[in-house]
Amino acid sequence: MQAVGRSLFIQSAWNYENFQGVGFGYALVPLMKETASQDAPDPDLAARHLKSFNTNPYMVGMILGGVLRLEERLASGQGSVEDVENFKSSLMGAFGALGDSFVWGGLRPLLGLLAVMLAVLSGAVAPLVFLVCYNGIVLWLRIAGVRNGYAYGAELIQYLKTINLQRKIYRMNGLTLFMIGALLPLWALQVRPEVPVFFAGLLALLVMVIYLLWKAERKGVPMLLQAAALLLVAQLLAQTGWFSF
Amino acid sequence: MSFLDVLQVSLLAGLIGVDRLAVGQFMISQPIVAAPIIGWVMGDFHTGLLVGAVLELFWLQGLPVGGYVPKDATLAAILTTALALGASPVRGVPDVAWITWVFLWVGLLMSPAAALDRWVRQKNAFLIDVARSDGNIGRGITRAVWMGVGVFYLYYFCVTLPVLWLSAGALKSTYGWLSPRLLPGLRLFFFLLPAMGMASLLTRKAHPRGRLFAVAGAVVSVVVFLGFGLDGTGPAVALLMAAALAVVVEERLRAV
Repeated sequence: MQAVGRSLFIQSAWNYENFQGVGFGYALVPLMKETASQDAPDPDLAARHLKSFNTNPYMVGMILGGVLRLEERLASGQGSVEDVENFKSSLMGAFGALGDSFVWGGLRPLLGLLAVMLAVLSGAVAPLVFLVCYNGIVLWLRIAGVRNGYAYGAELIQYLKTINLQRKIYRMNGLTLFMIGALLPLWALQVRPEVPVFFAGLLALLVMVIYLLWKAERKGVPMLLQAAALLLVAQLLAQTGWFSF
Repeated sequence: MSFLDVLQVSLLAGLIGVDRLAVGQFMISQPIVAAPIIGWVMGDFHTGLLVGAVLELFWLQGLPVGGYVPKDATLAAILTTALALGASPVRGVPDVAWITWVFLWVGLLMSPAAALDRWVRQKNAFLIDVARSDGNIGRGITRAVWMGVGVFYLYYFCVTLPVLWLSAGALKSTYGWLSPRLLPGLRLFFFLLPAMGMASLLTRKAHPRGRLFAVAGAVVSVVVFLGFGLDGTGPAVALLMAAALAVVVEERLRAV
């Protein structure tokens, strides 16, 4: 649990030179003290883990658990320093990419859409539901990550296969698309619910704008230009009186 | 906007910013959470929730992949909510056109803020030396980590305080110069802002039945929420659960 707690600080000294290197070192301070000959932490171990390191902050627990296991083996005379360094450097990229897709690309937008839907339907509860759902899942990632990272050690990639995050990402993509569709009528309803014709018009306008922006995004039109065009279109439509409110 | 309000929001902004940049990433810094918190502190939770909902959808696509740092949705949510409520030209619930005017100003600040964010992260490299320079390296690393937390706290505090203090009056004056004919367009723009985030997210979501799921979502939503008039947390969560089941069933059927 100490490793999980310390992994919360992985981004605290984030910089462009060694990224999360200092934060990773911080998570290993208790281990440095254990392997030290005297009171002061092991400086060699510290120097090795202050090197450049970058991965998804929620996936770091798995690598941390694995490193703890390998460092303990090293302290008892098994394995080599290269084993530990190769383990870290080979997994941080893969875990980073997977974590970014799972958390930033999948979980956060999905729960964001749910929270906005709840904000429309029931108001105040939305931020709370978002926080509980999000942290429930990432807390599992963090705790199970350290535990299984330690249990699997160098075979950590096997554990990753058992939890099959790729399949979960695929399912979340489907769910996210469903939620976007489900949110559109509710969003259109926010403007003037008492006029059904106006509601249908707004819904059609929203769908059309999303389609055009989707096309623009695929062609690489910068966000600033998209926003400027949207502002212009909104002004023109409002001047016609159809969408004036 | 009184200096006490500015100070209060800036102190809170530091804490919210630390969640985004330094400790935990519990997502208190997401717009849907941060904006209502600021709204609550400023005395209008629901306007905060409205700003949070729109910015949450607008920023659906902001992914901090690898070393890339996206534009700061947290800062935008804090500044927009605080200025919309604290500098509002009317008493009570602010007009959506005014919130949009504030958002446009805050949007212009996002590029300089991103440059400042990058500068802070470059300068943060001194923390590596702080970690190494102590004779007891464990103590050095701990000190570097806490200094990093302090740096990120100060970054948010030092950006929020002058922006709120200096731009509140100017925003109110310039809004007063706007022709009333432009206000409906600003309101419509605010309503359409989420379309940008959704469109951007759609370009990144590859799913063989994506269109079917989106259409199904819209139809089910119209039937459940408009047809049957249901609302509240229960039906929304039930809808998500049913959709999750449908996604799994579809996947199994495709596998067969």
